[in-house]
Amino acid sequence: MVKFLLPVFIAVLTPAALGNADDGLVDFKTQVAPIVVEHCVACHGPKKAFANYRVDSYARMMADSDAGKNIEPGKPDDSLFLELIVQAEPTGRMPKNSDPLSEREITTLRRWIEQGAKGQGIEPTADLAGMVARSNRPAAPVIYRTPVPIATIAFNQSGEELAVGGYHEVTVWDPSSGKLLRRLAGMAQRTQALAYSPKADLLAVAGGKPGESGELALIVPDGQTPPRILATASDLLLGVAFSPDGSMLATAGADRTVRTYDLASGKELLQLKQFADWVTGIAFDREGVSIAASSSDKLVKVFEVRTGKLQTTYILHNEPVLTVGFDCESNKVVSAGVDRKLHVWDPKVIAAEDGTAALLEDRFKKELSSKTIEGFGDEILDVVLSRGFVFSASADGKVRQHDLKTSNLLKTFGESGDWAYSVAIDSESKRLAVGGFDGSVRVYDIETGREIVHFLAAPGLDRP
Amino acid sequence: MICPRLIAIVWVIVVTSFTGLSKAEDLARIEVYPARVVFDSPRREIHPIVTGFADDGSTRDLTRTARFTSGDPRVAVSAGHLIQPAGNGVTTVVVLAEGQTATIEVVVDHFDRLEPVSFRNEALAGLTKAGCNSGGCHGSPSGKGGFSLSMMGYDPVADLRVLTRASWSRRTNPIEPEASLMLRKGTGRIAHGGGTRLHETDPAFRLLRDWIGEGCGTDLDKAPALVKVEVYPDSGRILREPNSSQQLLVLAHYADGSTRDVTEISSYTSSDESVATVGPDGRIVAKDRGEFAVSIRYLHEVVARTFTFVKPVAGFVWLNPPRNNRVDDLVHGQLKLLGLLPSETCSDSEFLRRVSLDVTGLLPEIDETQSFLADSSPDKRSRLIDKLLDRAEYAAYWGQRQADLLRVTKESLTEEGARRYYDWIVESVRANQPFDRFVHDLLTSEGNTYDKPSANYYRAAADTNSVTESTVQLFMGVRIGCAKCHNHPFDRWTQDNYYGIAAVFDRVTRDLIPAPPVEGEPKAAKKRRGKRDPDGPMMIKVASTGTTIQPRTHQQMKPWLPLVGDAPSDQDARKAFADWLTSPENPFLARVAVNRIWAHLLGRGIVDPVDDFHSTNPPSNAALLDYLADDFVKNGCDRKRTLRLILNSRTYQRSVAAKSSDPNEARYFASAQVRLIAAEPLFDAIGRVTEIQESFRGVPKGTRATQMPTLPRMEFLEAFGQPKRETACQCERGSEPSLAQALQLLNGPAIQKRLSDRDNRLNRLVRDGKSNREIIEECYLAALCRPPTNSELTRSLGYIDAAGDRNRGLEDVLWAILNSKEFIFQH
Repeated sequence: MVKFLLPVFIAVLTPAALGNADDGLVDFKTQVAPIVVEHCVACHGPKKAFANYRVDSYARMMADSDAGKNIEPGKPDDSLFLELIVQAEPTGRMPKNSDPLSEREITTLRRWIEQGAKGQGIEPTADLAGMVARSNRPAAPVIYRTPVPIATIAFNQSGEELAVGGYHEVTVWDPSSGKLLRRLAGMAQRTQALAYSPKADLLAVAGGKPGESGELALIVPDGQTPPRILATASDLLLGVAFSPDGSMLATAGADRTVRTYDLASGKELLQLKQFADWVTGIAFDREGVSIAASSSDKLVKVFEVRTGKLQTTYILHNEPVLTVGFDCESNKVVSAGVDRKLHVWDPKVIAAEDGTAALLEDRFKKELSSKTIEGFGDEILDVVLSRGFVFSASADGKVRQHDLKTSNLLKTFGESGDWAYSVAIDSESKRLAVGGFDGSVRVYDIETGREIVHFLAAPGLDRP
Repeated sequence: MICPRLIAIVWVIVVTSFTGLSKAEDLARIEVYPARVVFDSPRREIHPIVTGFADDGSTRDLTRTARFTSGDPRVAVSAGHLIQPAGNGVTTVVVLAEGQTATIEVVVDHFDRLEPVSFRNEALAGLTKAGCNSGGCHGSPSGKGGFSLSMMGYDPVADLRVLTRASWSRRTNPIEPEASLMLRKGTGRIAHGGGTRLHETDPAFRLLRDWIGEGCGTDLDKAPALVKVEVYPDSGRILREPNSSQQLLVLAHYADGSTRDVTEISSYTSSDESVATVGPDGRIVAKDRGEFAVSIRYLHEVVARTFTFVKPVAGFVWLNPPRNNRVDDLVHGQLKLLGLLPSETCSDSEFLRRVSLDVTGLLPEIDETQSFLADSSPDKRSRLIDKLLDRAEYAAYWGQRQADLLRVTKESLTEEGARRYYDWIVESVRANQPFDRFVHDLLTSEGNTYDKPSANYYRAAADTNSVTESTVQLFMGVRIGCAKCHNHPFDRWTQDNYYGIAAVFDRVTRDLIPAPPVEGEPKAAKKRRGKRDPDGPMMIKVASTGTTIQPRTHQQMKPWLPLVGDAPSDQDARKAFADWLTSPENPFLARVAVNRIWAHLLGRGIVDPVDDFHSTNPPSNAALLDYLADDFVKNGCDRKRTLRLILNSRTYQRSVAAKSSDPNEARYFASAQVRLIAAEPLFDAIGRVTEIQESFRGVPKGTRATQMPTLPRMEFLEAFGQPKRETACQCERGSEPSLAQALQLLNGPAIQKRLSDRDNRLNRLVRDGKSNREIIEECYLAALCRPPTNSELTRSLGYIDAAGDRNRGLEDVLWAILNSKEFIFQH
């Protein structure tokens, strides 16, 4: 029994360890794919495909290019793929204009071809980057060398736990004492957005590796269960939200796409690509009928959740929009970003005024009925809405609480020198948590404005 | 069995070629620079330059072959030609090259100092070196792929935010620096539009990685400011094949008194890649003979160094060509060094035609030609030059060229204003006003543009930016326009410099004023005249305060004088600027002025284009430019003197028949260059040859195109590149051949009208009873300053006879002459 379990255990935890063995079968997924993704896909992939040769899936690797067949299974010396990699003369050597592959990497590739260049146990057309990202799960640092900016922060349903985005992990803290409760490992490098399910004890984690991969993971935040990776993307996911009934998830990402998923089946429902730049934030309305998505393309778009139909486009930002939220009381949208203003608007009214059939030129001239709240000293990075109030985190270091109806500034939290980078509230306990660019977390009593606790969300590093 | 004799021969060849290469015996000494170095941090290093000096003073770079031995490896260690600190103390590093030695004293203190990578002084230089922030990449105004940096790092504050904070800090990763997106993209690990710009072994990569790993530190306030960049060796070294390489050493000096070797993080550009290339390590490798400059950039400082590479040319024998003056000595010196032979001296006909066109813009009259050709005195060329320079046509023509650049147009200055301004310019040329005074008058002018014509300078340049850019281009030879938006990519000019100079001129006010009364004018005109009429004069004045705001820093700029600093605040800043520009020490004005004169006469500038002096556009003969500028300043900025000096040189008087097929021989003025005659002189030449001159409106009868204040729009002139006078750029005058030119010459009205005119030269000569032979001879003399050759004469006469109609035949012959290359080209 023990004999049987041990190798499985190793395989799950450190799949790369297999690569150390000089004998036995080379595993495509854990040994070959990482080399190909690291060194080859940049020029022979979806973005560029020199010589009409793509290697972003097993099937494509094995297919013909301009030069004909590249990999001859069983015959490494007849494979152009290997010939170009091992070439001594740097001019034509692959990877082009880069340092050559290491001896070990070359041996791995050679033996894989020798053994028949097989893709064991994989979907031949599956994206290799996603495959590598799923199978290669680097550990979080035991001790942080330096704090990471707190890009996202969230209270759980009971308000007793505070989840904070970390490095290859999510850390869970006690918002009263600032004590580290758990570390949820197995996450992508960066965590950009967190959302607790309104119904179950389930945390959605959106993030990825900048410029390389995005990832949506679901985790029961007990520190026992490994995360379930629901989806991968070609760049960071920047926003995630649960539908009010908890049955659906929506993500926004630097791949300029909004996606929705059915939570029960894990199936992707919608893929919305009407963006000219990164989609930075996402929010469901009160009924779960519409979703609003903010984008660096300076627009905010509202879609019907069921059909994906574009309901309205909000055009008055004139600068990248970084965050968006829906107010449950008024069902108004609050969007904000580089223009240092909170824009408060009713998507139904805007849709009626906007008239999607209107000429484009007219639309951009139009004065739409929205209001803006000003007084920020720098970009607005995050907003959270609750019961007619908006809490906004700004690069000027402050979190402000405004009354949506009157636009009055009610309170200002924090005078930290660094950016207020993310914000979360718990309505029951009336607590506000602010994640700082400097890695600090501050928890306040919303009513009194008193700071309850202040800690550095970086295990191993002392309090600030 | 190999023949022993063969072995012996091979052995001899090997040995001789080996000793021939090493030439150890002719080295007098070696020198190492610097001879002393202080390391005040473990993060310092030095790449000393080792130079071998031969008895004849020639030099050889021995940096790569020298051996470095540290006297105390606990203090300093050497690896190749690199010396690094190992611990506090003092030691001597011995340098051995070609059997000779030299020493470097090394002092190490503060070896225990913890010094993080500086963003401002190191990481930014790394970005520039890798090309990330170049104008075609992320340094372009809109960046690339959503990632925008300031060009060449002129805005460190913005760059720091973009790299470390913007876009959710996606570009930098202090926990795993190698995983930073900017490094993954730069090394090509992730698809990157800009390709692979960095390798893990590059110093720039290491600096950027360490800077990120140390937490992306901000030292914008703390880092010592860069004061000076020193480059060794200085300009002027001559590399002789086979010693075709030269290592550079770049030392940065900072405000806190510290110095560091920044050779590895400086960026290098060669002025001519076909002559020499520079590697990222600062090593020059020359490929082909010639002079070249290397521009060295570290942060915002740009330094240029010029070198010459010479190769022995098989069969080259220097024939000691005759010389007339110092210009020839300097040109010959360079030609001899480069192995190029100058062409012969041109014929009298060629000289007469060339010098007349260049000085007066006109072809000589036939009697002038005949008497010059007949003159046998040895100094006749020199006397002709003096005579031409005293002619009114000289002042009118050179004044017109000046008026091109000063943008004299009726549209911007009014017809009256343009005329008065042109007259003022011509008078300055005629009276040979010292050029510095001319410039000073222009820059400090104020008043009514009709009464004070020089004030039109500020009317033609209608706003502060325009005055700034044209002043700097006209009189400093710098195209500073780039620095309006970002630091100059090839030179030291920064955005602060641009707005500092703009602040000199931003106090100028321009107000339209009523035109002066005109006798007997109708009432309606009088009424209109009373108003601020755009068709009337303008009042140029100077206000007491300026308005220039630096757009990046939002600072109100103080008037700034290049190389000096803030202008004194107690006077018109324009005067301070003009005083600075026209002082004898000013390094810009004289060089630009003599270079423009040279380019007019030789067809190409010593610096070319003439108004684009920058570090990678060096003079093709630096010594020559220095000499001419020096002579100009020493003699009171006497324009005629410089003209006379150049015109009297053999260099000016060379034939166009080059002796070398080297494509670069023109750069070094080994022969005269064939070039199209400019629009106005060509038009006048046609008029003179045909004897049908254009009469222009509003000027005295007989005024030539080359003497007009402004010219009406004419297809002929436009086709031949007449400038519209819209910019202060010499480049506005076109000199490229075009189809429109061919059409104008073949059957355009400028030629056809004149050939068929009853009063033209042909008809006059026919009426005077001249023979065909006499008429043809006269046409040749008028158009080409020479009689026809026998075969030309025979063929022409034959053609006229065959044509049947004499007049028609003569017209065709003259048409053929006017369409000949010899006529339309200057040679």
